[in-house]
Amino acid sequence: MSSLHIKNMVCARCIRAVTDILVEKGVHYNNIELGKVDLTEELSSDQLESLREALGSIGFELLDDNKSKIVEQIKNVIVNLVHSQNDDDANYKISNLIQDKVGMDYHYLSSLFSAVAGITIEKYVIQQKVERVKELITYDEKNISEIAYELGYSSVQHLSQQFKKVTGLTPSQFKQLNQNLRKPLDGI
Amino acid sequence: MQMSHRIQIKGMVCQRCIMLVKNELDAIGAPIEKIVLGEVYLHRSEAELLSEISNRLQMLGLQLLEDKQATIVKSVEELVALFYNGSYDFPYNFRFAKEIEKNIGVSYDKISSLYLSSTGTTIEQYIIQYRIDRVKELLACTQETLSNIAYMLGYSSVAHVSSQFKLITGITPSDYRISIAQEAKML
Repeated sequence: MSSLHIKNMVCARCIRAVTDILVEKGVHYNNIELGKVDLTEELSSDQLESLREALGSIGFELLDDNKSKIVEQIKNVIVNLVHSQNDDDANYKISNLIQDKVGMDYHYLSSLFSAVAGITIEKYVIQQKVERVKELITYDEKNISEIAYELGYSSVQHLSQQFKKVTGLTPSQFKQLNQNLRKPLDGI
Repeated sequence: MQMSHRIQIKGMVCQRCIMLVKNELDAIGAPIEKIVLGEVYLHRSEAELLSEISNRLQMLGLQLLEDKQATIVKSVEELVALFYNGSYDFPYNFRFAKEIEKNIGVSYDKISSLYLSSTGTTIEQYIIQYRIDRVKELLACTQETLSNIAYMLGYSSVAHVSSQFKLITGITPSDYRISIAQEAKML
């Protein structure tokens, strides 16, 4: 059975947007998740091209290259881990989690990721976490120490330092500024 | 110049979120000024429009932040009613703040400041008012002694309920009971 690999999917709305396109194009599938659609039939090259165009028009990309597929899979694991509160995965080491879900050796994956994405896995994780911190700060429902705990930081200081390094602002400065400085997750 | 109303949306993280939110809002004819991650600026924001927006967002798995706050305010008030209706069996070392944290799953600091900013009164004031209303009701409609009433409502002592009652209503509990009885006679 063939599957499609799609770049830049990060949330439930992305899944919905892809579903809408598949339905519109009359493509049959039996499962859709972040980054991947399992098809029930082979697509003709015409179908594939029109799908590629439709996906491209809303910021997605159909992936052909094997290495890019793996990198995208790693990104999906990280986005899932950081942005959905899934307590089962919370205690996992991220390297183990990636190794398990992708099914390849972490050292290989790590150097592949750096080469293709131009950023290390660790840095990518930090940037995703900082983005999640920004999001939680703007909701104003939790204080910084609760946010730090939720995202698995060892301390508030650790979170603050990392946040400042990435954004140039401390979390409280960010909050005081009260400007929308969030980035779309697929732009990271 | 037109006024711009900001509404906050929980759960938006990417370009598709912005796109789908825009589609849904266009479909119900909402007057959008601009949409960014987590925020929509509207030219109008009547309650009716907001509730329609809220429904549409829910279908996308998103949430209006105001809704979340309203839910918290509501659960605080429900818990107050549960604990201070007169039939709650207070455990040893009962602490309202702790119970509320446990039930809502947000820290008491946050709940408390959120409650204050959306209702204009503190949780403590709300509880005092609620309990005094219950005391009045029990004084007027039952023969319970004040010490029983104090116990039922979780006051630490009769002195405590008396002084709080006097402070809020201006008369003592026993005067209140007498005045109610006289009123009933006159009718």
